Amino acid sequence: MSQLRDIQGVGLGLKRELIPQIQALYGQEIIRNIDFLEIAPENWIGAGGKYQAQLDWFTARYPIVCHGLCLSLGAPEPLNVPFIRQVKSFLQQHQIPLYTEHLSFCSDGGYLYDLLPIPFTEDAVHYVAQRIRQTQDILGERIGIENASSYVAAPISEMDELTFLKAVIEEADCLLHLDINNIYVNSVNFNYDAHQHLSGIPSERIVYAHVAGHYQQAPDLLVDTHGENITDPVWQLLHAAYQQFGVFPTLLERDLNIPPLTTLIAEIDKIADIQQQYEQNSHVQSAA
Amino acid sequence: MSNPQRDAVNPLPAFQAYQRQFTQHIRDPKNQPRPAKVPAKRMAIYTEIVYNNIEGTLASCFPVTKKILSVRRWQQLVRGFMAHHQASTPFFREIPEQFLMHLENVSLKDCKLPAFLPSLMHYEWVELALSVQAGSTNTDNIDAESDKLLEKPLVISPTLYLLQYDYPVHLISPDYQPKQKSAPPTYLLVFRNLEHQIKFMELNPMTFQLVALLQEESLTGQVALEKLAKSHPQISTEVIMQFGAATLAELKAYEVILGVKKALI
Repeated sequence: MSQLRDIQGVGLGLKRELIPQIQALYGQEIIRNIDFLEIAPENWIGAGGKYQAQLDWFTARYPIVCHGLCLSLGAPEPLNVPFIRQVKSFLQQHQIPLYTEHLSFCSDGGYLYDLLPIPFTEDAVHYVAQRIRQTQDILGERIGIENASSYVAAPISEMDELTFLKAVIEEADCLLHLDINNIYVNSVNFNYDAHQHLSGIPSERIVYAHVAGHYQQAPDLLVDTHGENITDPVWQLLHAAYQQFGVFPTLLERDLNIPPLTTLIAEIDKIADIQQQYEQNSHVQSAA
Repeated sequence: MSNPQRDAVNPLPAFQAYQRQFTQHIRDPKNQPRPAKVPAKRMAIYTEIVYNNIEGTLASCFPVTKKILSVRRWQQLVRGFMAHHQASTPFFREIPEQFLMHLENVSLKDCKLPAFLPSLMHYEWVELALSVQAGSTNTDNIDAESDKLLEKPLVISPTLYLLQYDYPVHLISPDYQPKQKSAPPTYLLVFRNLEHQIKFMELNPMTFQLVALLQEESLTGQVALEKLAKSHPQISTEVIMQFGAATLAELKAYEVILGVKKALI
């Protein structure tokens, strides 16, 4: 049975295209650095047929984490409690030790299926924190919250993103699912210093991290596509994060233009390499 | 601590009023203004991402429908769905079903859509529905090797759709768009085999009726065919039994009939 302490090293987002490739290379040297996998519960809950068979194959072989897309923590309508209960029994059934979600919203009474930015206001802090607490109460465990990428700064915001993130996490007493690429994307989109932002992250809350590539639409506008290779500034941020906070589990997200696994694996190996460089820096997570 | 849950007399907290404007613009960018002081170029990223994501999901479920409709007409349907439908499911694979629910309230005539469209779209949706349908038969209780299809109670696949349409939906393409309903109706069987592949079969009315009988309750082939014969008194029982035995064997070969029930020990 997988436990939170089994989530270690390097992970990979389990996209459909990658499934047969991982199955074919399982046990071979070339994918030795894939330590854990991440799935979106929205794609797997209640799915039968070949999806059921694939899920069974992977849960028997890898530690798995659930990274959700549609919990809609910042939405105006009440939380979808029946859905949270479905997530709970899914986690139990497949012995998945962790569920994380985005600090964003994706619905307004009806689902829109994309991550939309919450304005950074005092009211919103309390509102979202209360909903995270409600989710944690139902699940009976803490969830991780991911710092989301965004393209629009709400003119009504009363604080900066880091202040908002810290306030929500503190008030909700939840974990942080740190997205390194999102820090960089937002630093370009909203013209702030990514390294300074990183330094303010509540590192003791980090449960694991994401790295990914993005698409440069304009010099001052990056789109969080997960469709390109990881860029140098994001690698540098990962170095800086390990240096300051110690090494934590880190997962590669690749959702578009997915190259063959034998090519993609170079980025997995690179994460493992960097983790080794900072091996002596052990990351301390606060006790649950 | 401020309380964002205001009653009806008080307005929404500012962040929720902003969120509402934000999503209303995403749903209907032509008619709903974006929030004040938000740059158009940045806002457009959201309107595009959300539209492309939903459109892409629908296009992959309804490829024939998209091909048949003009680009404009298809976009109108997707835009109308986004503007007017409150999707109630967090599961991406259920977006196409939400689209069908929405289209039930859309007038085909007003939108100049072909009359066969609901049938075609339902048929296209069935493939997706079957591929993800949960549940498989406990094969421990099935004897898949037995050839005693007439004598023993048959077990039929739980992952099948028996379909009847007014149009030959499986033949529709940009080059073949029937204006009239077909007579007799089009009978189709779509099923998921044990290798999780989706298969399609056109049925004659008699086979359709036979599969329907087997779907209703577990019968031996003999009993099912006798029932079939009863409802066709104009055809000799002998002909039906002969046709039936061959059809049952064929359905078994395709894994529509999985086998016969194992005798309880």
